[in-house]
Amino acid sequence: MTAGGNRWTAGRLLRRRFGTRPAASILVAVIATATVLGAAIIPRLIEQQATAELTFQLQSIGVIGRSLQGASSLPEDWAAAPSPNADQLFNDLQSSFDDGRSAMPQPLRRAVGAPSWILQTPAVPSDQVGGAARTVGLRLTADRSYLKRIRIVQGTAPAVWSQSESTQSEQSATTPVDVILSVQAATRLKITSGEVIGTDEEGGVPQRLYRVTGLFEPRDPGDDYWTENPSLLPTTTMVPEHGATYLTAAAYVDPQTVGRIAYTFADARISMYYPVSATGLDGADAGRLQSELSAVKTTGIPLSDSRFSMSIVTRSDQAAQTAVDRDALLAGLLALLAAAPLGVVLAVLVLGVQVVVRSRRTDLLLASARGGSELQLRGAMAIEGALLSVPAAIVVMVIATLAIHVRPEPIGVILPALVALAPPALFAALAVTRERPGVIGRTLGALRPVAEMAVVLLAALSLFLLVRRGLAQATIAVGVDPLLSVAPLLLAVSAGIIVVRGFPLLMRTARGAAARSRGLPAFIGSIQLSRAPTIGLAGVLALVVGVSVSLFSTVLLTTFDAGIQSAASESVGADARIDAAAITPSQESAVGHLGGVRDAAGLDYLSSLAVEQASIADPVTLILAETRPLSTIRALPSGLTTEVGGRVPVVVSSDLLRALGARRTLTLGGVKLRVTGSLPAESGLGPTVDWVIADSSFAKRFSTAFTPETLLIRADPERLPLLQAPLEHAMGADKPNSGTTVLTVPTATAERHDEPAVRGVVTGLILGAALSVLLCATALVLSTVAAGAARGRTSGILRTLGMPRRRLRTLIAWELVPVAVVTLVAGTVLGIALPFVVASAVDLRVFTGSLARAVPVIDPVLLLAVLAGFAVVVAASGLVALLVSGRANPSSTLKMGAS
Amino acid sequence: MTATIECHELVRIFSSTGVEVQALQGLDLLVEKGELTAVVGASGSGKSTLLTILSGLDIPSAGRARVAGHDLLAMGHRERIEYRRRTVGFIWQQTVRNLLPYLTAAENISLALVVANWPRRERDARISELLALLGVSELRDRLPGQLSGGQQQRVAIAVALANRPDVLLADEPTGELDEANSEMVLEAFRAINEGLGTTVLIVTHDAGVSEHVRRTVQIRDGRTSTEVLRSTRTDSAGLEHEVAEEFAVLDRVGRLQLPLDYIAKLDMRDRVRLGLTEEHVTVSPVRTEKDDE
Repeated sequence: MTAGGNRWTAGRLLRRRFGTRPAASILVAVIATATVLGAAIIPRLIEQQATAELTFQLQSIGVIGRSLQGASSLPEDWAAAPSPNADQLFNDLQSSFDDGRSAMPQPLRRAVGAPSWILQTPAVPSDQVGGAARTVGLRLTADRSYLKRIRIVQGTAPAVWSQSESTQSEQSATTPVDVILSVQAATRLKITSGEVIGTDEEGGVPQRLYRVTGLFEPRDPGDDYWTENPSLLPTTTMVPEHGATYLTAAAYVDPQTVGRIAYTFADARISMYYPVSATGLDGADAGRLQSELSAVKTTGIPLSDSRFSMSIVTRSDQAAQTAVDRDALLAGLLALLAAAPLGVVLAVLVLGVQVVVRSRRTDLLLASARGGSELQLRGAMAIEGALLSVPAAIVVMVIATLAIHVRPEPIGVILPALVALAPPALFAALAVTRERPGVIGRTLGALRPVAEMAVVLLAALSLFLLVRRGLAQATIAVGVDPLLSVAPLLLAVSAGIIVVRGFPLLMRTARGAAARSRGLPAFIGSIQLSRAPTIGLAGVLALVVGVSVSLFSTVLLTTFDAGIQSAASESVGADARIDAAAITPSQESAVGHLGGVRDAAGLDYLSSLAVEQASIADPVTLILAETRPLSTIRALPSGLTTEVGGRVPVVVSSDLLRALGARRTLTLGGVKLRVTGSLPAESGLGPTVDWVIADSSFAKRFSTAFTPETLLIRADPERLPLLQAPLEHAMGADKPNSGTTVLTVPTATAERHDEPAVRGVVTGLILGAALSVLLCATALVLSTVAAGAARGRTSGILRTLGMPRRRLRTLIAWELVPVAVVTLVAGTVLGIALPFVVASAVDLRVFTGSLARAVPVIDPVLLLAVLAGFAVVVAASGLVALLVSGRANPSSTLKMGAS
Repeated sequence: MTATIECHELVRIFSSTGVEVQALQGLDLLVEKGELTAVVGASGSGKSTLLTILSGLDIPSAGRARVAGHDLLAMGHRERIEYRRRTVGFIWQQTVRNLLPYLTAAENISLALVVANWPRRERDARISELLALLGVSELRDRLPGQLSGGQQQRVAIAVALANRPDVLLADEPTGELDEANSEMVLEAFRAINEGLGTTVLIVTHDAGVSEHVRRTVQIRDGRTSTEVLRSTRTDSAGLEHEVAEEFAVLDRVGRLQLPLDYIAKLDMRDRVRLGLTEEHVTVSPVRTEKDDE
């Protein structure tokens, strides 16, 4: 005997036991590991999802929407200072903005980048360009670091103006101020490098001269600086109150020049922005980020130099708020989805542990009789349980931590740790160490009806709360409300209890019939079902929850899809839509001739027309539309093209119709109209309130030309999915910066499907359904395997009595089929009812963005497929039972039975 | 001499779903230290109930039971565990209940030692000692399934003896064995009883067992009815004779059980007449008027 063999320790005995009949133990280990995996991954995925959602929401509002923008004017006394010092001003501004940023709280400071600012004067018109009379406007712009942003492609950088406005002199009027223009602006203004703009004198009053020393291009056109300061590159059309319109453009001066032309710059605005990063943020910070952003918006950024204090504009706070809302609702919805399978996992785990514990019963009883204390025996069982789950849990958690990078949160450790400790706790608790149940066992047995009643009452309470308060309000107030999240589980458990309690009654009735007609297997099967069911509460629970959760997930998924589809249709307003500044007739005809396009209706919007009627104060939008093709897309009354009695026939929005009361005529922009019909205000035509549709042929009556801005398209449903690219091509929207957007319903749907929150919901629902089926299969197999010994005894006796083996199959069928049928029915009812409860409690519009509240959509084919899947699972576990019992030898099972 | 096992008016009632079964109905039993006693009785006579009570696995409903100074009715949780570990050892009829099938003979013994926190260094020596004592040293590393019934029971005895119990209890230890193996196992009990001085109580329905023990107690309907004492006497010719004397058991309040064949022969029913003479008590049937006719 080896030295190791001489060590007679408990560990050695445990090891020996561990290696005996390991199948059930391995199963428990697999279930425990899978559960730990879920518990470790799901919170991290939700965390990651929150980050993705925050990033998505921030990205969706664009660079300008994100950034914290502020503007203010220069200090009043700036120009009057004895010698306006540009360096001093720039340093004050820079340090003030820098301080403002460093004073920001975290996580806002992490998201906010270094401030960037420019000084820009209002447009200064000059009447001469290169000696010719022509009006152009220059917006003098100063930026200390402008040379880093631009590349001078022609000429040179502007020099510092040698004169000063403070000392008015002859020379100061005749010396031009050096400026540079963007190539784009110079081309539009038809100005070349070296040209002088302006006159030195006009009516005896000295004027300013500007010399264009060079032309520039952005060093990096993709630099957010150009987006944040949109006036810097292009020209802008100025429409003065009097006189002709003219073009203006930004012109950089040397920063030091600001101090020289201090009076000109006295009117300048400081445009400052802090860029806000959409990436690199943590979803868990969304809430704090939102409150900090809205604080910045309401109270501004505390600047060290109060002269520059400015109010801040940003849309980041709304984006963060949307992300927070969606996260909360998603977490609530996922908790709602996960609670039930988690309950089943626990039930399956209990089943598995019971199988293992049952196989250890003799050992424990013997050790107990030999004087093993409860502590020793339950301790040994706990160690066995811990060996099955803890090492695997540690590995899983390490992998999860390494694989999914999120900021460590306590829940990410506590949840898996709790799950990992469940098997040892269950092993210790369920271990049988005495022949008869002790006081605890008896008490538990007596308390079972009370506990069942409590579960049913809790289910009713949580259902009431869920419908009353709704998940959304609850989650925003307190995070994930546990009582609401467990509503489906409680309902499923209640259904399970009803099945377990009601089943014997059903079977007792069935037994009478079975005894008379169907022979021995039916008789014994029905007796067994009512007195010693193979599938106990845990098994029934697993089946009911499994069926209901997968049906629930399926129905919710189809509902969700329908919601997204309708939201996409609503946002498009037709099968496809094209938006552009102006759509030319040739473009419209190109679109109309595309294969797959059935009709295309152009819409032109004339905004802010006053209705000459006291009851309608707000201006309305007139939509000029090609009503003939539009009538194939929207239900329009006929006769919209024919004027009757000098009144233009129009269709009005429903809210406008209400405001009109009983009247059917109105005057809009001086044109008399007659209302021939109305459409819901939110018809996806453009504006959502107060609009009037008139046929495009009446454009002249409104003193305008019909230039459609929007094309609504009705398409061949089969070719619609392929229409995006041809439409873009026809409109030239595939070229960069075309300003034209093309959106088809399939594209809009796909875009929505790509949103992180939507992906999260869909993944959660699919996983929930798949997991439930898997758990059901496990629970059924465990139940049937656990009942193997009892079945072996019964079949042993029956075979000794001369029953042929094939009739034993009928017995197994009796064990499974009635319970399966009843639980499938109960699960189906519950699974179809739950979505209605959830849809009334959870506002899925937060995810889908549709206008109408979602009504559960039931797809019978899909539901039947799921139910068929369950039938296969039941049949398969019956097959497993058959295989197991087929191996059993009646002589051995009978002898085992005797012991 | 004090009694190691002392049962007085022992009652055990099992009740389940309203039906009460009185398995022991005021049993009296005294076993002296170092005695080898057999308790025999028909199936359902209550002998197995007695054994589970004595082994500390069950608690009597009423009466008094003391084993090696432990009051079996008043024992607390800790004392009960200690009692099972060190005071009693037992062997059941079914070998599967005595030995764990996946442990070798030596490991099965070590289980008892581990449970009782036997000092680690001494475990190996103790295991070897026990295996040698029962003559199964060469079977040390075999699993129970690789042993014959007799070998299994001898290993089971070794396990039961592991923690040097005062009392060895055996429930039908030869029930599943053939004659030769039974003989061997019973001899092992006798050897332990004589060699170690351990008090041994064997419960059996096999009347043959009583031939191997000095004292046989018969249980009938949950009470001790008769006792057979065996002794060896040397007659005047110097020849040894085995003498077995059967006694009826008289309890403290004067109850005794009359043998069934006596009752049948005299057709005694319901009431009997007792008479006291100088040396003995007579029990006579009551003659009714009908009988007189």
